[in-house]
Amino acid sequence: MKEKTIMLLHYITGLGIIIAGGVHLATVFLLSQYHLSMEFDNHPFAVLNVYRNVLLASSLEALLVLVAFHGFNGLRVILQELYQGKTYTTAVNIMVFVVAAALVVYGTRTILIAHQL
Amino acid sequence: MKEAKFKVFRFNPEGDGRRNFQTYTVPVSRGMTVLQGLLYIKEKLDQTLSIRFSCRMATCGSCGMMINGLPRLACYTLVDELKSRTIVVEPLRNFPVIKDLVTDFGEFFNKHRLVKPYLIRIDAHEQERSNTSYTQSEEEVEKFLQFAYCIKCGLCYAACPVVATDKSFLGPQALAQAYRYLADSRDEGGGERLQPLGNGHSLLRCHFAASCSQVCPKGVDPALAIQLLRRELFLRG
Amino acid sequence: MSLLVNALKTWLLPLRYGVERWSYTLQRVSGVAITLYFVAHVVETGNVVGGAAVWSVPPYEFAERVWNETKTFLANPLFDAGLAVLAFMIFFHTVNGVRLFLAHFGITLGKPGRPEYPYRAASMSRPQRVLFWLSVILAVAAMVYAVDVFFKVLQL
Repeated sequence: MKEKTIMLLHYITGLGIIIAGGVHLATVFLLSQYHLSMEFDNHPFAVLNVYRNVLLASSLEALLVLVAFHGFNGLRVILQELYQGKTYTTAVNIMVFVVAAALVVYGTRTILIAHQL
Repeated sequence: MKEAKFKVFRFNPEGDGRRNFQTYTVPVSRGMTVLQGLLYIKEKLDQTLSIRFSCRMATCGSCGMMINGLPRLACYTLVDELKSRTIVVEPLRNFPVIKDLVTDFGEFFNKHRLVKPYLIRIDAHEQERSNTSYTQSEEEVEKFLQFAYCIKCGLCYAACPVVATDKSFLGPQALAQAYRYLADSRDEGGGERLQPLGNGHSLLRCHFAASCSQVCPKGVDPALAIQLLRRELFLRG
Repeated sequence: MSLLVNALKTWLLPLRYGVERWSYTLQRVSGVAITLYFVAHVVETGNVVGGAAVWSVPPYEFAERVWNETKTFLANPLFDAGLAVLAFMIFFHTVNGVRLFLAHFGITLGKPGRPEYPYRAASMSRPQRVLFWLSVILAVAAMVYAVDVFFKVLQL
């Protein structure tokens, strides 16, 4: 992928995070209270109830993918500015992609299973 | 007569190869520049000191060095403006050192050549015809004129935090010149200039730390040129 | 090793070059901090279904027990203070990021012109500076709000 395309995606995911992150912070801090939103089930905005709601669960999934891309691309940029050898660059590209993908898989598993609990 | 201590970086690869600082006591007067102090050292105290200078009036770009921690032109920095009795002089950061205060500008000029710093016309022989003139309006000139004032002194390159670690980043000087030619209405090399900048680290590793514009002695504002270049790349590239 | 030391000194000591250099450093530091927190957060919230070993729907009581254990583990003043710092990081990174996004497209930057001494750089324009300080102020406000939420200091 061209660096220019990756940068464009970095801008777009950044803007997307503002929206999805805003929704997430609102559900935890504004629509309920923090200590109530940490409860397992016995409150409208408790953890499981957020996962059960299709819209909120989708926005969490979106946030997961967007932050994984934006954050790990940022890390990739920082690591590749440190040193520019060919092997190192390829290794960083692979490592960053693998870790980000693993986190997205793990997070999606959480969302899908919690949705059904 | 007042005095100042010049703490000067010394390195002689053909001598002992040690990097150290030597302190010289130099008489200073009002209006005296750091370059005059260094030339005093060279004339009267230590002939082995190597420095690069030429015009003495901030137009050739030869005497860039780190003076009290910031990249400055030695001929353009008054001893009085440093407000200190000790003046630490080191070679320009981010450049390899040849000897003492003289640095190697080879890589810097290579990066400049990479951006094709000349007018590109579709008809390559047009400029050989003597009755051709390219007229420009005031607005067209002002789009690029500021960036044409670059004297290639390398201070921006020394200040840039990206250049410090990233060898494949072109640096503020080369990128500002890329924009200078792109924005020039006489230039027809648009896509040819812009396409390569979308790959790799050449342009996109600039993070707008704006240290380049902070230190530029001619008001070129390379940071502005780079952001405008980036805009061109994304909107038109 | 000296490569790393040189890089860290250049990136983390933004002295004497103006606010934009400070913004560069803070944006990097906050970005890395947020990404590291993101990793911890995805792992920790994975406990709502019972932990890393769970890959099908588990018994409800099992998940509830594991989550409550996690909740107790996280109810720690050290972690809460960390979250308050993170609130600063997130808000600074976001608003400063929007400023950078605008700058990268040339919006809110001044126009090129004829340089007149003392050369006020158009790239470090007033709207840019305002947005930077706005990001700092909003980040501090977010941190104060977070301290209040976790430590109930201000009773907001």
